[in-house]
Amino acid sequence: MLALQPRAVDWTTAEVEIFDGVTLAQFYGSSARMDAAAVLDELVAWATSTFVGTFSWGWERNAVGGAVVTLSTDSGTFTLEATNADAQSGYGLSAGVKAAAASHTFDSAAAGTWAPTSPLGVSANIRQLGDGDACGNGAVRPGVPGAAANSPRVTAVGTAIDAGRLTEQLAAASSPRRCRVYQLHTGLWLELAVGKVNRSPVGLLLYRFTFDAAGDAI
Amino acid sequence: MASNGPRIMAYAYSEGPVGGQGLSAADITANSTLAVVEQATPGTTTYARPLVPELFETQLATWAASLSAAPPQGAPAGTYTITYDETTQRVTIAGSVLFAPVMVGNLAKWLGFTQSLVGWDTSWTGESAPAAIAELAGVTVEPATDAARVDLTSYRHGRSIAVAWGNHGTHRARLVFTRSTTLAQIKAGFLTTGRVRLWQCGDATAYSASNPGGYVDGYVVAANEPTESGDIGELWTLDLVVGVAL
Repeated sequence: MLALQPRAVDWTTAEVEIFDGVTLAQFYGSSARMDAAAVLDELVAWATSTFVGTFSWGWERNAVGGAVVTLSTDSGTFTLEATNADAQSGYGLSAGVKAAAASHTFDSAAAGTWAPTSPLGVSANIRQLGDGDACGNGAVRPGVPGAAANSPRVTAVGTAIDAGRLTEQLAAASSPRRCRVYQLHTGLWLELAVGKVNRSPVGLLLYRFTFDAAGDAI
Repeated sequence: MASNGPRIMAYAYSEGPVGGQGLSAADITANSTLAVVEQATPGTTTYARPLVPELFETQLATWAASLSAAPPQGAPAGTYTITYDETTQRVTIAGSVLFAPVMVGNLAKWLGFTQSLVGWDTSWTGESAPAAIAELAGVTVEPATDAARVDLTSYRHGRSIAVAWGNHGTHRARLVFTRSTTLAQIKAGFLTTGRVRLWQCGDATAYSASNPGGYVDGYVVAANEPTESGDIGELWTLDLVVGVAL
């Protein structure tokens, strides 16, 4: 899953209200511009410290190539409500209170999320020196933090639906464009600056997506 | 061929006024002003034009409604229907009384009326296919791509930033015309410039991220030269890039 920072959602305004039968509390993101994965990490940390159970979140691809979030607790049940428009569009929750349950699957894809048919490939997320005059090549050794940029290769294969969803989310992303992408083999979420996205057909029905991306996004 | 495609249709610019009798030629909007003169009142010319830019087929209905309205906006006596037959690829203007259509600017080419429009009749059918619409043998419309300008910069201190401007997209389309669409019809330019609608195949709803098979409304930002293809040159192929707002 790849999560872009959406332009239209202010996460500091988006209010999620949780009630576990004892405590009623509201959550807001720490920054106006965040991606859904980062906000959900904050949400589960906050919920775990506020309520009795330990919370976790997961996601699943939906029919339109987005990621639908599931929020769960390992102890008891809780109600969940996105109380304003930012929260509803940001998290993909309909208006109204969700009845008490140990796990809630949200109603639609979270804003900015893209979950193509194939898992995303993120490779070569290492520091690389530039070339040419004044690049520091030779003066600074490769692999020294702070001396060279991370330039990972981010690729995926998807359908026309995935292509449509990605274009829609890129157009709705904030500028500067940043995303968080899940690197399967390390189990890490990497925050990247997203440049041009190249798309080429693969066979008759699929597309290959290649992202111009770089790490340590500002 | 299904009425929802594959086909391409042009929009015509118009800014009104809606039309009526006694308007001057200065009010005429090329490709959007149709007039009729009825035999019983040969001194009266009744104009019709949409108030806003309209799709070719919508424009036909607007003209018919305007000419059929009560005078002085409508014609003195007749009521009119204006139809496009996708099988014969011809436009027919029919009235309840004897009349002569009057076409100014490029309207005759737009509608496919390449014959002389003299005398009086209750029904006039174009001699050629309209230049504003083409039935296609096939069309490939790729999903929209994000066409925003993005500068991805990596700094020496190891941090990166991707600044983006704009929120428009483009569709790349490949149109395959049959011989029933003549090269002159393509080269008239109405289908390769300005605003067009591209139907893919049978889907009467608009394109969206979750419905990539829908029709695309956009502005042509690039078109190549038509290419003759097929074993005996029975097809024409044309590539378009259509810009859309996202």
